[in-house]
Amino acid sequence: MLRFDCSHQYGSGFQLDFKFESDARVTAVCGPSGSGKTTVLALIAGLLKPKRGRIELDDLVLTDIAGGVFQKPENRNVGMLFQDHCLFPHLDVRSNLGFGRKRQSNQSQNEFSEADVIKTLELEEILDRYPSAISGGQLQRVALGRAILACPKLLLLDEPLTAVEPELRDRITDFIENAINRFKIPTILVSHNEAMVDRLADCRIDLGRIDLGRINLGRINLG
Amino acid sequence: MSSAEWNSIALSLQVATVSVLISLPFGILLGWLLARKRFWGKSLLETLVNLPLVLPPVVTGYLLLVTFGRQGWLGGWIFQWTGIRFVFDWKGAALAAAVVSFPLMVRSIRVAFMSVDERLEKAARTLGAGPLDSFLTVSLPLAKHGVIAGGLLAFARSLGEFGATIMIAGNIAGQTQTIPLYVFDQLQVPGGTQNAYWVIGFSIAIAAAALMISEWLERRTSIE
Repeated sequence: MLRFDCSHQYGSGFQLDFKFESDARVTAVCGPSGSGKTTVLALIAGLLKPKRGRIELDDLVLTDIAGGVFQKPENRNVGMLFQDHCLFPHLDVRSNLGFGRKRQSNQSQNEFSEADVIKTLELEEILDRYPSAISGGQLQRVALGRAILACPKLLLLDEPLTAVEPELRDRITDFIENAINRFKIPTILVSHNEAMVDRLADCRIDLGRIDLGRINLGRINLG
Repeated sequence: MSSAEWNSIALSLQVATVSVLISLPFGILLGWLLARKRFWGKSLLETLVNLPLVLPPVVTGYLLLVTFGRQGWLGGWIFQWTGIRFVFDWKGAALAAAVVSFPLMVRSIRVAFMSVDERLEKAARTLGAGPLDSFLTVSLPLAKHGVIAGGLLAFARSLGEFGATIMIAGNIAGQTQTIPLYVFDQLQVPGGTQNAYWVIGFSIAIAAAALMISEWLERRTSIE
């Protein structure tokens, strides 16, 4: 169960106030461009500190500004798939995949094997290649594998199809769906792609429309 | 070449190498801080780092002498605890070279860190890497060409250091007489110019090579 209730203000004066909770397998956060969807993910991942608020994941408090709690990103066990993959260009695919896994405090807790993830995402052929030598679709699959292999308790997908060629989008959606189903990681999905949201999301949350630079409280439509 | 010429070349290489090795960790730290962090007094720190670039080297040397001389507040303390002295010693020449070349080193390293996509560091954090881990395994390897280029640039600048060096280390043949000081000495005596030809040629060649390699590395950083 994810409980999110935060306010965040940017230097430009733009303010985000958003509250939702979800225990769905895949929760989609929707809204127009600039409504703060990526900010919500960054707040959950601990990459941004809100002005006020509290974020809980199951029984773990990730952020509680009033209570002086702000878990560092590396301690949150929250994986993130970035818009344009953010693979490490100086590491080959194998090392990219192993980056998060090597850093897990208790490796015996890993619920799935590296081989399983590599097979599910069909990465066998490109393990020794560098990110500069693989295609856009492969980059996004490696980034997904890297995030999954860190055994997150929650997976955040930030516009996973944006940097992928249009003809590959259905195929990448297949891979994401297979991975989510197989590895059973609760997921928050931010995507403009309605087809992807309809196909993957069990629950849809609307960040609402921009109203004088302020975002209204989110609505929860449990699917 | 005479032994005096060889001595000046060997001493210059020693001074430049030591000055770069000592200043490189500080250069990396400051380059990263200036590229990534916002903090109170940042512009003051930038001014201080860049000051040796515009100060007359003799003034820099004087300030070093006042600070690191046996009677200086820092020099006296260092001598008391480690026995290391800087005045009339090649270590003073290395210190002068390090201070004067530091702005060039920091500038190159700072640009290198600025060219590393900050989101890669964030990705590393979400994968369980702490700030130091992320720095050592992501930021530093990606900035390495710029870091090496900064080191080479500082090395080339150190080879040519004159004003600050003569102030703190003096001009003692075989002990603190680096290439520029040797050339300066030879130009004072009749017929000495011919003695200095080889050293001048060597100096130009090594400085040009260091510059070319550093520019090549910086181009690689910007391409990547």
